[in-house]
Amino acid sequence: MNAAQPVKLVLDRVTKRFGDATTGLLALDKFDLSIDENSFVALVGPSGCGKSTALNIVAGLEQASSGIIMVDGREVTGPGRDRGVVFQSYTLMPWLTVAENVEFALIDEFDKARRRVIALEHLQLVGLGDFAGHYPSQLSGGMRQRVAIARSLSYRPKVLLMDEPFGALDAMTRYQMQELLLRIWDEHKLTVLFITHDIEEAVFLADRAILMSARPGRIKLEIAIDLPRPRGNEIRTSEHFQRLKRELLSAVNAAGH
Amino acid sequence: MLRDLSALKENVVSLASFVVIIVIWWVVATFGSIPAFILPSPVAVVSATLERAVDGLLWSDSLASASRVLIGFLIAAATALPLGILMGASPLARAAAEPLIGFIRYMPVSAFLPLTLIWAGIEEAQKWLLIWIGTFFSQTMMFMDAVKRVPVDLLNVGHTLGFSKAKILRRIILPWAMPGIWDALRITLAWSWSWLILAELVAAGMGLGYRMSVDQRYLRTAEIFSAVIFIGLIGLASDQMMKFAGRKLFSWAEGGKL
Ligand SMILES: Nc1ncnc2c1ncn2[C@@H]1O[C@H](COP(=O)(O)OP(=O)(O)O)[C@@H](O)[C@H]1O
Ligand SMILES: [Mg+2]
Repeated sequence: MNAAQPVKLVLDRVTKRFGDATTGLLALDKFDLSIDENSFVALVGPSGCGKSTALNIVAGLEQASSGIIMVDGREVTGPGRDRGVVFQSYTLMPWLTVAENVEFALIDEFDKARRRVIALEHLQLVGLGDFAGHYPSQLSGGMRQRVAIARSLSYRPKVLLMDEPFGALDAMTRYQMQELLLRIWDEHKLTVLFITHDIEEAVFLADRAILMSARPGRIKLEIAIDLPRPRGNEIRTSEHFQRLKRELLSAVNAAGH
Repeated sequence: MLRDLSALKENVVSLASFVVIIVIWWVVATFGSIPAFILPSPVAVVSATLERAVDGLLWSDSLASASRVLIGFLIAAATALPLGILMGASPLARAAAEPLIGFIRYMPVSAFLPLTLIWAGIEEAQKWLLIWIGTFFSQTMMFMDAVKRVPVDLLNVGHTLGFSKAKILRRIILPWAMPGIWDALRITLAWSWSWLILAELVAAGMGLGYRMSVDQRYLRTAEIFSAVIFIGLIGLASDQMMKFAGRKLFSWAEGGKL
């Protein structure tokens, strides 16, 4: 949040071309981004502008065509447990209970009893302590995403990457999830890269909102969200909040989408 | 209550259709002028079945046939599983084997019968071989399909958790594919019976298919009817058992996976 924080995550001229090396689809073009430790950065942009591509490259699930990604000054070459990922789609293992799904991240790390303790701790954190024995199919979409968040936090990654995790939820649930996420983030001190196409979500959550242009993804505008923390849902109606939202919106409209 | 009632109604209607067919059969066989060696009456079929059950032939033949089916089927499944899983998980293996297996699958299995006799003689191995040819290739493709359908996002969860390939296979791919694999086993078990009967009709010293080939020579049509119906009942029973076990084992997959 301030200059004293060391840099956690760096994307340095990251370019991604799908398919042919010269004529293939250019999804990201020399994309630069640097995120301080314990800060919350939201990447906003129209659908198809390359947000997921950027996140997948940081996660190590996708290979950059050129450019470098660094976490704590070390180059990223593939997926790893220093980066946790929450996907937009529901990614719980349907044959495992809620608790087993969280323990899934800890297999081979701890003994069974210890795994269960950690899983229950994190389920409580996301407010699902009473659902440990349920199966994913018995949960609502919001609850499933909360389990996925618990799973991602359980092994203490340094960076949490979230790709429109609340995109499929209804507006009321989305508000609740955003508040919950901020509370967890406040308690845990985490570095978060959060992707969304929802400007309001970006303003509510982030320290910095970064607006991407349409493909190939480049940074069009970056604004500091200097709203006070901790933030609750009542802040959404404040003049300050609305002004930041307008600022981002007008930049979006200036591009003429 | 309403559901129970309609389920009951459904059972009554299905049972009634069986009864109607049997009654028509009985009427035609008894009062029609069709000779018994063409269409024996249901009563004659039941008494033929009872006779065979009492003298023990029914049981020894069933046992011989069932053990052939089981062994042939298990050999096919044991060989198809590793290949199908490999093809599902590795695009390279898929590219190498899918066109070939896909082609063989469309060859008529019954046309392999002469070859099985040349290759494996007329003993047990020939029965297993025909069952293997009749099920292995389709099983492989079905297993491959079940494995291939694992959602990429679930695999990505494994990757982001730092899982090795082996761990992703064991923890994500196989559990996901198990219901589909089980279904493929259930379907191909039923096929195994058809291929076995075919093999036994041609060359065997015992078994339900062999017995029918002898009965045919003596025009014992009631006995043939009895065997056909009995084989159908064995198939139905094993299919229902597999279905039931599958529902118990993979209850999470009921009504869609995600
Ligand atoms: N594996 C792929 N192969 C080819 N094109 C892709 C692939 N993944 C994404 N794209 C394309 O790259 C562009 C950016 O996609 P993506 O990063 O998913 O956008 P966003 O997440 O911002 O909606 C889109 O035009 C998409 O069609
Ligand atoms: Mg996306």
